[in-house]
Amino acid sequence: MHHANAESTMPHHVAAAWAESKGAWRTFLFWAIPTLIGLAFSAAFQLGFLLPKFGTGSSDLDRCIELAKLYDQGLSDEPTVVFIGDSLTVEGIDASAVAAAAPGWRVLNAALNFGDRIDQEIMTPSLAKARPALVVWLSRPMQLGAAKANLHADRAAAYRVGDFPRDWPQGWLSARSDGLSSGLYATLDGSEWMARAHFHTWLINASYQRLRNNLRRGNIRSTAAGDWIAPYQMVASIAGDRLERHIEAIKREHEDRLARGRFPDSYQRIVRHLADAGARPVIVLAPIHPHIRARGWFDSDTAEFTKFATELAASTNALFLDTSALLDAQDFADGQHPAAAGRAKLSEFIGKQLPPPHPAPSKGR
Amino acid sequence: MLFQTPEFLVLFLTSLAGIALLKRARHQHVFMGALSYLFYAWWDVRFVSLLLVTSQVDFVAAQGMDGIKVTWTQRLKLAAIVVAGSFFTLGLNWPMVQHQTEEFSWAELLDPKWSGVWGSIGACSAFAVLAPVFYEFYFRIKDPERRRRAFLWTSVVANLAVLGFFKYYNFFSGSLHGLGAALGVDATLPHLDVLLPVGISFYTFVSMSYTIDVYRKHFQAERSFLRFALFVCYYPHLVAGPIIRPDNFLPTLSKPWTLRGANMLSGLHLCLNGFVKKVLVADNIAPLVDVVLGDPAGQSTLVVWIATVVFAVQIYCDFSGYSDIARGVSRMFGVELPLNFDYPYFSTSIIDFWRRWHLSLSTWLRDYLYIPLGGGRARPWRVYANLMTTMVLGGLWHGASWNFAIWGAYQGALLCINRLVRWFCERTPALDAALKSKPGTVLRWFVTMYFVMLGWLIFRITDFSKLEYCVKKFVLVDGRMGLSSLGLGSGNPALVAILLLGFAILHSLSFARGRVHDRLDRTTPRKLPLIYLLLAIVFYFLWPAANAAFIYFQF
Repeated sequence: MHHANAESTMPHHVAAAWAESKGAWRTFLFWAIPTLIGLAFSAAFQLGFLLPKFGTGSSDLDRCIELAKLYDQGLSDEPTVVFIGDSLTVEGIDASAVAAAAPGWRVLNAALNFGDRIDQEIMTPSLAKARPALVVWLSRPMQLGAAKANLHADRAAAYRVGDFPRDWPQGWLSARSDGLSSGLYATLDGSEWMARAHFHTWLINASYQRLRNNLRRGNIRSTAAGDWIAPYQMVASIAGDRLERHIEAIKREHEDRLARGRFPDSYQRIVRHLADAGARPVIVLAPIHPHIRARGWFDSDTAEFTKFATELAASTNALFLDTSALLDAQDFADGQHPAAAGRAKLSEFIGKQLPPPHPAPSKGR
Repeated sequence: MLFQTPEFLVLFLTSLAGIALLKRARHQHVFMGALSYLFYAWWDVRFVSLLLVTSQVDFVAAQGMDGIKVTWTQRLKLAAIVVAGSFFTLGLNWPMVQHQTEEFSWAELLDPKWSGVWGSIGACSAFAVLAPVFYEFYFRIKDPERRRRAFLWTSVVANLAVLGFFKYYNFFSGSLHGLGAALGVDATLPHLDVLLPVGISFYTFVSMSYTIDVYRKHFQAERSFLRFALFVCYYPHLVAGPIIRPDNFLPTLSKPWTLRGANMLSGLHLCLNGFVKKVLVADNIAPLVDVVLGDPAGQSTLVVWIATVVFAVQIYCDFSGYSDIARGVSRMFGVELPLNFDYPYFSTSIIDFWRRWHLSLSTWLRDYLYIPLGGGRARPWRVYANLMTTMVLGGLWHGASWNFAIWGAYQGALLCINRLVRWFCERTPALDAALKSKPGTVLRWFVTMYFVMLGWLIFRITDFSKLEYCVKKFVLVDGRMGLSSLGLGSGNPALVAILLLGFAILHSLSFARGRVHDRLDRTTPRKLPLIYLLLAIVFYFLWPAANAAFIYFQF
């Protein structure tokens, strides 16, 4: 095909001729000034209007910031149980059902989708400072392995906007921590203004979320930012080939993470920090899909995690609950997330295992 | 130091200020050379000396070819730099050149705990003694042609040895081990796991083109090491091309560079064009490709097709965007770098595609490999063998991995078939006329793009089981039209669709009516501030949250 544009190597056009008469530096300013005005206007609009009024555009990211506010206010004088974890906890725990099974407790589901161990490490000091009485962490054996991937840059900025790093003890995390990089650590350790400016992607985030909600007709995990009772959103379930593919993907993730290294110290540090701050940790071995259990894929790693968690619980006055075989296949929406029936069963089971409440510890701040 | 980072903006503005303030050519060369080495060191300070050593060897070899004998004082200086450079790169910090300590640390560098440090010092010292001996020996060769050839081979072998060691050692030892295991033989080379210096394929080819051109007497040896070093390390082209030739650059060094308004405006427009391609298009569509082609199990034909087309746009926008920014920056300094892409997705044959895609590499391979092998003027079987050899080596140039070798062989085979079809058409006028008609041209475009897209799958997917799955899905249509797997991971399909549509419209208009940046140069100055302001707003809101490296940096 022929095209009408053999590229000119020396510009001799209208604007170029004008620029030649003005000289290089004036031409540069001719470009730089409107560009800077455009950037300044955009930044002012985003920081002064979009972010305060509409958030980051992503409810998952907004939830990180809301969680920081919740912990910053401190938990109420009622004895409070806080559930932490990832999407398995978001979907698997109905805080009201736990409260019904555990009278006297105020129950909050503070889990985050994609809330990996590094996310918990970032948030633990702030959570501890909020003085919960019990912290329940639903974990899978792969939590002892390497991070699924590095923390997402958006997440790092959201945690910085929430100001979680303020509560970190000296040396709590570094650029070499599993799941972080020097760039991510710099975001967490950097200025709040820069972290806020990070969400210049509001338009991309908001359009993505709207599209997902529309396309998936509510069957996805776009958790309401400030919902600490019933954040679960998944309605649909999968079966047959799609379920098998999901189970295979879980197996791959499990094997990959454990093959890339083990980080029991990091897990221990979170539990010990909570225990030292007066919150009693409850380590829960999360439900495993019966199809996975039947194949015995995770048996040795589950046994290793159980031994590790039992020893850790003994040394920190924590509780250890094994729910790995609690749910049947019909209790799952997919290969790992509980469906409504599974959620009710799991929430009630954990609620019944919780110790009776004592008066709440005095507020930390 | 990526082009889209604040550090690069500082480097660029410093360069402009330096060129404006320093009036003497030599001062400008020192200044730009220092900034270029800083640019490279920002990536990885470990390999700065490698760049210097490569430049040294080729500079001396070209001098030798032109019969210029380097004085003993110069020789001592050069030997000192070569030895210090080799030692610094391969000796003192050898463990840090391996993946075992990927993070650079000055403390580790200055306090080597490597047991082989004395062996390394010995090897470098031996080189210091042997290099001048060889040099002196070459000058004892009476026949000038033989002497020239000796210098040429020294340069070629040195360049290919460096490239081969750093880029292909791991690949070669891994493949040998695999072959040995398949044959039941223990064929294991020492495990070195060397890091790949960024841009090594690009600057090695730049440097080799110089010595080969001097050998062919197309170009006289450069007398100033400073000017030659700047030719190799000039930062706009250093890490991802375009692969420049001596006649693109060295003549511009004969007088001081001056900043001119027209170049500034035109260069800015070229840069803006590149940033739109790279930052707005390539980086925003990349997550969708990563999600689908990174783990394609279970994806339908439709999803694989979409991901392949998206990757085709991504790699074009990423690489041609880089080339535009490099050329724009250089144009602002007053140096014109060669065009690297000429609307490859409007090609109507594979031969046409290779005349439009990565021009600086394809012309390099043509001039320095294909033609010396005999080119297209030999017997037919030899021409096909030349094509296959050139394309397989061109594929391997992209990376030390079997998928790149296969991609090169695939492209070579397509070029051979294309030549056969052309030969057949020349003897069948009716078919030739039908294929040159409008519907025939559309058909040729469609067939060409089909095979180009299939090639991108081979290029993108290094895991053979995943590649096999995707190729089957691409070729054997499964009839599944569901798009549900798009948009569940990271990646915004709505944004991808909008960007693809925008790219297709702008690119087609640009192809039909002239390049966008040239059209900006032609517009009236009154309209430009509003365009800049709107572009700044678009950039602010669509600039991805994390800066992504350019795909071709890994090569």
